Amino acid sequence: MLKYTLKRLVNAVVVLFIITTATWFLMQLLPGSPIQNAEKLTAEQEAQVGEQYNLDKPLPVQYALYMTGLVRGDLGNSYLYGGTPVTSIILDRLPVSMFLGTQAIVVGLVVGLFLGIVGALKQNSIWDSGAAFLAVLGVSVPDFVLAPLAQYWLGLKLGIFPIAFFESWWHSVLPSLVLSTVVAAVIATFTRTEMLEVLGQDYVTLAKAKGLSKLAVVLKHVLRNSMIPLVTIMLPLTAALVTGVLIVETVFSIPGLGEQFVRSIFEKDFPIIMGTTILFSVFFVASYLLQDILYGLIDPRIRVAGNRE
Amino acid sequence: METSNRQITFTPDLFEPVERSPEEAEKIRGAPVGFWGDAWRRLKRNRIAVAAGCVIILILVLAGVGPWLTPYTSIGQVLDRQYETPSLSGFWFGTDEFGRSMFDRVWVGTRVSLYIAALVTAMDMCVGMAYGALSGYYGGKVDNIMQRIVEILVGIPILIVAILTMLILKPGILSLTIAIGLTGWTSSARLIRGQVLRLKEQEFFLASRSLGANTFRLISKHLIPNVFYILIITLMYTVPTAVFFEAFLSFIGLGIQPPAASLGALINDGAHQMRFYPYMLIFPAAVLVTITISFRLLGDGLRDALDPRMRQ
Amino acid sequence: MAIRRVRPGKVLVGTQLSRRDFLKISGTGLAGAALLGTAGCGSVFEGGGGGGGTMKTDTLNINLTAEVPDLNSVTTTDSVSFNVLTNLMEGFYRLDQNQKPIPAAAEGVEISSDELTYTFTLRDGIQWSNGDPVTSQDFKYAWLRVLNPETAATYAYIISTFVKGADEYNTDKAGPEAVAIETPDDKTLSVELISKSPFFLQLTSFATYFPQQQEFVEKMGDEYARDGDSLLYNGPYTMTAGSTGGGSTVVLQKNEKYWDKANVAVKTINGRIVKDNDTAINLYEGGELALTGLTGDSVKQFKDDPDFFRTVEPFTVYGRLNQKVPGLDNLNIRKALMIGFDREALTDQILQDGSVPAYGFVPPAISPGHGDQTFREANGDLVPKDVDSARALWEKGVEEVGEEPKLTMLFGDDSTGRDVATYMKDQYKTNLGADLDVEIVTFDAALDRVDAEDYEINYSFGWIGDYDDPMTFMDLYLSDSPFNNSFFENAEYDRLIEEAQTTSDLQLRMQNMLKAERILIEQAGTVPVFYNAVSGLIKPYFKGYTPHPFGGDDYKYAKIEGKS
Repeated sequence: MLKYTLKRLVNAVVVLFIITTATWFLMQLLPGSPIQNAEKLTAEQEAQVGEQYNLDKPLPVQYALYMTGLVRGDLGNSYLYGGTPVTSIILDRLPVSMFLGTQAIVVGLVVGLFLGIVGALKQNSIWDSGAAFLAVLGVSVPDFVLAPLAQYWLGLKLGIFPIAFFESWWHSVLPSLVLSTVVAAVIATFTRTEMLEVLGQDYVTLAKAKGLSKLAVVLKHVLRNSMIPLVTIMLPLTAALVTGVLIVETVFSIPGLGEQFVRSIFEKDFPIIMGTTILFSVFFVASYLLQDILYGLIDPRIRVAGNRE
Repeated sequence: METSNRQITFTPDLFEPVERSPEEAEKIRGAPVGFWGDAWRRLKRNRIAVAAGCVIILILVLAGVGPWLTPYTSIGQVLDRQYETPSLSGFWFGTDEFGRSMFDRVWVGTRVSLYIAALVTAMDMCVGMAYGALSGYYGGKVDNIMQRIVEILVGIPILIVAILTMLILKPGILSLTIAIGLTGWTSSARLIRGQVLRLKEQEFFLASRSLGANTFRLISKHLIPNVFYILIITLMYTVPTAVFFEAFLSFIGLGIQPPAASLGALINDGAHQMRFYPYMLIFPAAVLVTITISFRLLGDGLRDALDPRMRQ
Repeated sequence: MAIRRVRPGKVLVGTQLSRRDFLKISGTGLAGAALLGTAGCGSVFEGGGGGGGTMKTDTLNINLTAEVPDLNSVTTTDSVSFNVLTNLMEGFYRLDQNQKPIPAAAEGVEISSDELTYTFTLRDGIQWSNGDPVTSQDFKYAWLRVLNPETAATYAYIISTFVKGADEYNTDKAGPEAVAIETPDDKTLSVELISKSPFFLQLTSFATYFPQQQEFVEKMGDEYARDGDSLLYNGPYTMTAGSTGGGSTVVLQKNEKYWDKANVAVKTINGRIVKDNDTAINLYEGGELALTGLTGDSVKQFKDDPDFFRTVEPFTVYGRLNQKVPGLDNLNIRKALMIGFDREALTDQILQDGSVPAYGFVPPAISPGHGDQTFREANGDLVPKDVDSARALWEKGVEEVGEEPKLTMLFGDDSTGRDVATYMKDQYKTNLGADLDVEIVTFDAALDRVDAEDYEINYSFGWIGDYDDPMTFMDLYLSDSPFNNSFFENAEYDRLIEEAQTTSDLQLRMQNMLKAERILIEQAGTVPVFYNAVSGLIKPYFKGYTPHPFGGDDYKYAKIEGKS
């Protein structure tokens, strides 16, 4: 098991390295320069600013400088914000996005599990259709439609939720709800399918024959076995959440990483783009790694095969 | 007693739960017609899927023919009839800030979005299929290297790739296709590879091989038909994902540029006008949601039909 | 354990990890993640101190529209930073509600008879927020920092164009001693100008001319101007929350050490950061913002709202015709392009944001002109309005060139750019019978291309005046100006402007500029398109809102009246 995990870990680091390098080079291809107010600068002044940010050195040197800094934890300074270190900007905003994301996952999990279980237990009934319908809807209505609508109707018109900002926990509720729709929908469909699988199994029939109540059956056997494959959808869920966070933070004016990312792309603030990209990639690779490890824990075939490689 | 082996195959498709590959693969060898005919019958019985299919056809028809139903065009500006509300006698879907017919714009936009989705799906299928088949077929070192590459690609968030690509290339149909499809084919590739790996161990395959069939024949005649149905199902889910993604890129401003229209661009514009002119958002959003729902339901139906163990 | 029924395809976790354990692990994992999230909870939320939904009667909530990029007055260049800095610090003079300079840090100025030497005397008792007195050396230190070639300050030209010796220092041809600034004592500063500049007092209200205390700045090092604690204030407000690049609200509190604090009515200003215009409008309607800008389509929608206001800026959007491109070196072709489109329709029906059609280069918001007239009034509408006459010019030009030139119009992809692109292509086809291509690239890419003179025609950009005088526009088309990227070269134009820059005869100066503009338009060296307007909504209780077209939004004069 250990060997397997180590292998995956090494793999993850290699992947991260390649991603960072690739992104860095891709960034060089972006048109435009990070120098602000370029229309009012003369050529000499532009050169001077470029020098300050190492832009005058040959590409390989710039790359080496960046990578060595990275290892030390220095992500460079922002172009746009007068030299503020990228690390501090990112660290400032990271907890906000993490909080939103986590809350969305929790809500989504609860709602999704509920819908899924109901659907499975009452298969083909009106409850099932209702739950299934909600699930499909949750997945089909894009966040960028839902968020402005929610803000306008629930925030402004009905005044139930705050319109924007992130001043208290209550402020985070509406954005998290919007974010959670996708999560809930995916988990609902998934849970229902898995549970139906399990419900059809022999040992469940056996348990029922032994006289256990339906509820006990569900709790003791069905639920546990259905949860395990949740591992498989971790990655797509993370992807969906990242997209969603971008939208929700922009619409609700929440000072998180997503909002910063979009803006930094348009402003060509390379250091922030790089830093945020690396962070996102770390998330993806980490959840991928986690998924692989969990797979290894669950399914010894994979582990064994991995060891043999 | 079921002793079948099910392999959990993984698809990083955004909204798709676990796929199942039936061991029905064994049955295909003997009576391909039977399998498909069987599946088709099952599908027809699923009323929801059938309804979804009809809706899709309806939308395709409207996208193709819709703009011809009105005397207006999608980019012609009728400057003195701006912001008209929808009415049966005038503009059916209303007009926008330039006096352009929303009806035309929505259907032309749908065309563009579906076209992009189709291109992406085609790319997905071709590249994914080829890559996965080759990787699985050759196995060993080749497979190893190819899988490593896939892992790296999967690790890069699609979002980042898409945004960066759009910034480097000029926004347009082709660049959008590349941006969205660049890393999406990996899920198909993995699915195919998984299938191929299994099929390689099947008797019919080994038999054919020992009979001396060459690689190409092996792949095309035996492997591919057996994985085809997986591709069809994947297709059903790729289309809404692609449409979605294009809409998202438009939201950020990296999608189709005006005066051309796409569902994403129209929804984005509509969201800004929502306060006073909600119809500008409702129509394109409704079309988008309908497309997404229909494809998914049809996809679900197909999957159920082709996977006999789902019957209860 | 006994026989386990294997669930098809899923090997039982129990061989390695029992189900129970697995659930425990994942359960704790989830809980842990949630806890981690909520642990940061306290610091994650802004809390009541920073914002607060309901406004008190001595607090104004405004929208900064973006994080503050740079609060270092020496290097800052953007409008968001100006909006904050104008309220935190001040220079010798400040602009009042009519954009006229009034004494601020200085109690007065003595101007020599040749109008080339300005001697400022600082007010008695003015202090920095840390109690230190504001001295004339603080001004000299800051100005020299701006000019220092190592600082590479973008706005150095706003000092070096006017102050004697400044340009030599800035271009590294001389040391700081060459700059003609003297500080005979702590309260006096005299500066020598290159030529008569009647708007110089106004210039001193600009952020680049603000003072900085050397000791404090050097102590802060790289941390200077990062947040509220790393800045010194001599203006009506201090910054008690927020930071550069930070997403949380910037809070301004009345500066109790300000010399004129008696006249500062609003005690607290919350600078919120709302980037999405629709969200800002929602907040405004919900009563959480006292003021919001309107962009794009929302301008059309709110035009008839009682809270609507519009300011026409000293901002001309104009077309550039690259004269090195074959075809564009022909006068008739250029004139045809300049005349051949309907500006009224463009602003009224396409842009619909209150922008005004431009028939001259210098915008009407520039006040100095001839006698009582502004510059624009004095020269009137120079571009012929008869759109139909353009076709004849085009055809004549084509004849002279020999063939119809194949021209491409380059646009940036911002919303204005795209709208204008569609419109212009259509107009030229209709009015000239000409088929021009349109190329749309990202805004920054377009900027780069124009800078590098790698374009044929461009209509996306404009110029905002830096100070209230026509020269801020006229010097753009000097043949050696770094901002003249159309290769417009006219000896008479150069002569007139250079003379205007050095002469001490103010009448001659104005006449030269008026004449030069006429030449510019006659030669179709530039294609004025429209003067940009800024629109927004403002609550009736917010009085005294003073946006400075040259400089930032000023809240010193703001008052809240009639709010319950």
